[in-house]
Amino acid sequence: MKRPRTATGLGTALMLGSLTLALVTTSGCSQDDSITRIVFAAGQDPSGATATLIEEYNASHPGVEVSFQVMPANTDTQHDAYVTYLSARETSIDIYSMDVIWTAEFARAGWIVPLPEGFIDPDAFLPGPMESVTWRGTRYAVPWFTDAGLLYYRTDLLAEAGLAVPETWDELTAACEAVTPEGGAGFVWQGARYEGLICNFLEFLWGRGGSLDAEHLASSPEAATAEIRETIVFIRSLIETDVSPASVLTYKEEDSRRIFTEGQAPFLRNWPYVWSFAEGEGSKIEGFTGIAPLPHAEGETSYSTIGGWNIALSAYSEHPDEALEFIEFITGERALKQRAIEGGYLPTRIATYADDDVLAANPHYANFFEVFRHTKSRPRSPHYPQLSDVVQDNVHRALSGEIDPETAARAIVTDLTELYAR
Amino acid sequence: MHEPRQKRLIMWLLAPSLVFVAVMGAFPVLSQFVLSFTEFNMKFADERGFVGLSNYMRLAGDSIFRQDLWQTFLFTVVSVGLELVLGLAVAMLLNRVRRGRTALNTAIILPWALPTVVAATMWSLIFNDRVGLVNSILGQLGAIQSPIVWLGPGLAMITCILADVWKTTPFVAIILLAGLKSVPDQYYEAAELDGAGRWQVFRYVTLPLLKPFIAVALLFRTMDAFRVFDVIWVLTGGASRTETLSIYIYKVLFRYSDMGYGSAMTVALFAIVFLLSLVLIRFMRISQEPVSE
Repeated sequence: MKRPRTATGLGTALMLGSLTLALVTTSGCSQDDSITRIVFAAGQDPSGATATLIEEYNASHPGVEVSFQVMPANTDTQHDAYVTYLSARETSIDIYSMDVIWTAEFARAGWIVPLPEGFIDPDAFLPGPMESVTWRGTRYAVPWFTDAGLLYYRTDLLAEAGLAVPETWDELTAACEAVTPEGGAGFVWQGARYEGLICNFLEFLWGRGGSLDAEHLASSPEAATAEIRETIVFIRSLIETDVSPASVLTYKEEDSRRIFTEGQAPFLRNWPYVWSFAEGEGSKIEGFTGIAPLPHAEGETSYSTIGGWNIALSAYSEHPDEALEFIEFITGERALKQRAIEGGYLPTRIATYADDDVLAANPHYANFFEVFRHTKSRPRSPHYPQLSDVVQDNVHRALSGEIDPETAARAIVTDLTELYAR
Repeated sequence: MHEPRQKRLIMWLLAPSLVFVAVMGAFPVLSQFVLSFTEFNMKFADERGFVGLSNYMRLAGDSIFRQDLWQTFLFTVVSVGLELVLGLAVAMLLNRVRRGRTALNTAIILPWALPTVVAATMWSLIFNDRVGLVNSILGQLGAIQSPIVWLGPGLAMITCILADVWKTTPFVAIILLAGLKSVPDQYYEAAELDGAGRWQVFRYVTLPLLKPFIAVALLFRTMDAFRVFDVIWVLTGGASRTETLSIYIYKVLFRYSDMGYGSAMTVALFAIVFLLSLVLIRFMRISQEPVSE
């Protein structure tokens, strides 16, 4: 059978083409050996503050070039991407920015390196974030920026009714009856079945003196079960008495935020980011936003759930010393101040809250600081994703009336105890 | 036919595709099967190893798996049932229409053409309790006093089923339309001559001849519905009793990084869908009576 000439020509062309392609792509990998390249993976910073800081660092450190690898905005997507890289022992990323809930998981997996002794001064940082970087007594990351749950309220509505800012749940429910607008809602928060639900639930639980800590569940499981059950019953009562709308069980951050900034609800539990929406242009409630610690039960203390991100060194980095130097810079006072002023990222260093420039740009930080002194972490465990799902599922189903609070509380205590023990 | 030399040439030409399919298809299935007998978590390298049937034992006692299995089953039965009925109605409509048939065909196909995630996002906005179209209309009509929470407890599954039926009815309609067109006109004429009424024509002529087409549509839709993921993921994330097996498997594999247990669940899902398909095929064969004269 004669081979057509075109087939031979085509075959040769294809071979040459693919060879060239292979050569070109591999040649791109040759490095200039005199420069150390560090890659820093983190979520997008739309303010540009981080990019500017990195440029500054590169300019002042001639032998080092740090580049910013932008990760997806969704924290769970970022998590799954990091898990993939680190499982494959990826060496191309030196520094990871980490959600506060990942520390135990990544530390246990051996993916991040404990910080050298004396690398940071723990007293310089807020206590909540410091707790979030610690696993089994060792520090694995440096706190970068923080977040905590706040109570937002309408200053005008409360003033009209002559009411003080509620400090206990009884005061809040009473205030709701007095000031809820017609057809609106009283107190909105995030009750959908997702990570945010745990943040909200824990604030309710801690405000009643309860906790999901391993030691507490191990030493007094009956008491823990009772606390969880009573908290669920209390939250359900908020929905049943219309203090919170039934639809709150489908709300995430933006759903609840919108109701508040549209003026439809006098009270909102949400994160600090809401401030710029509530007081920004086009907000229906501009000038009337107040912030306060969340309410607590009579005789207890209020606590907010810590959110935020930390910076850790990859166990597979080929330039740990240079990477650590950069970490020191990007979590230093100067960098945190820059990010606070330009990007509104809440600093984790205590001193930054007293800085004049920072306060000039963000006067409401003074109120935030008070709340940040009373924050707690979500349970720390290498099995956090499962733990989170157990709490989310049981709480959401109990609040929806699918299971009763006692069953939910028992399931949470039993399953969490089992996960903590693994 | 083909001479031996040509046959060999054909084999060589087909070989790359076959290898590709074998690798991309068989390899993952086999490796999942093997993984299902191991303890393998991406995060805990020191705990990996062969554990025999222990993942399957764990699966047998997993109440979440059982609940999700029931929810998946419920979703499948109701949504496929609705799709068949509506799909048949739509197909019969399309069969009768003479003018504007192309436009109508296009309009009917549109839901199927839209990516599921896009359609589901649209539905989540339409059913949103505060800003959604449905509540807005119902409120204006005075039919409801306070907003209905379509994606909340109690109603979530119904809403998910509606969104899915909207999207997949065209698929069933197209298949059944092909079936309807294959019924020779003589049969209808003969039936009319015998004095058969509309319903009798449908029951004794149309339906029996449509059986193979219904079987195909039923098989495809059941297998798909049982493995549903995107519609529910976008609408509720699995909350309020809508979580299906696919969602649970996704969580175990990608959220908990538990490859061993996740693989066991995948194998279980594969087995269930496979059995279901066999049952359906069997059922369809048995019920295929010869067309009565």
